[in-house]
Amino acid sequence: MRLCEFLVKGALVHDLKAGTKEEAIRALVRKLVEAGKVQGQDADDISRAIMKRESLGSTAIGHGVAIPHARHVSVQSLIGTVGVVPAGMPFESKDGKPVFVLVLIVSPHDRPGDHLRALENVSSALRDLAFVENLKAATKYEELSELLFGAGGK
Amino acid sequence: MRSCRNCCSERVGNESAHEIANQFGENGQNGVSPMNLMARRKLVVSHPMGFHLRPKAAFAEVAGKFEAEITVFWEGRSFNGKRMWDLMLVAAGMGSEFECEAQGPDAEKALDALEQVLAKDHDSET
Repeated sequence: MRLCEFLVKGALVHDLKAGTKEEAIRALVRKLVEAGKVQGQDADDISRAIMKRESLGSTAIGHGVAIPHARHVSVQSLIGTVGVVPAGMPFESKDGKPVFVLVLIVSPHDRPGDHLRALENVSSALRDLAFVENLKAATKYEELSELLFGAGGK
Repeated sequence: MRSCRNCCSERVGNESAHEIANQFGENGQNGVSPMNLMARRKLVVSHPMGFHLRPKAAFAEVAGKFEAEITVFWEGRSFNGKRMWDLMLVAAGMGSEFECEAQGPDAEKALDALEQVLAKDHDSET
């Protein structure tokens, strides 16, 4: 499962403006609603589920990347989006460093294998520090979209 | 939230990881084994959600407390068991087995501790 197979192109955000983890998560879930992948009535519940997961331990995994995620009954297949915070934001990461790239994932309850494959793919793509730097440097939506979906995608 | 009694004083995000590592003794301080001691074991993923993000984080954290080098073998490839970015590539579902090799004076203790990480119920959250 490649990134471009589950990321929702219309929900990418190249200049995510959020002061807190919760604001960032809510903004990205809202983008999934705007893109038609999540029902508006489910947005609050999904955001809460992701925050609940964060309360068990930050999903910041280093390299300035975090993977906020949750399972939710409202989605039939695994979906995700990417938000880039150009200036970085606190995310309670173990290394204490700011997070610049958020890969938000919502998966169905009954597909744990998809979730594991999605994590694998996030790692395959974002362990490349140059690629992360390119994501951070995207100044337009089109640039971010091209990095993730263009030329075969990641 | 407590601090780890052996290795660090900073805020401990995953208490269980530290407790497991402490229980087995870290850094080979009590060990008398030779530096090149190598141990290898098959570990089983028992959690219904598989080897998801939280056990991966706990695995890397516990592995990092030991002197031994930790290598995970999965689908024909090898991964550094102390690195989260490596463990992310191990998409092992429930019931999967993977080989884990430890090389160093505390190799056996490391594998005991890592086995406990996988046996621990990280609840239904991923």
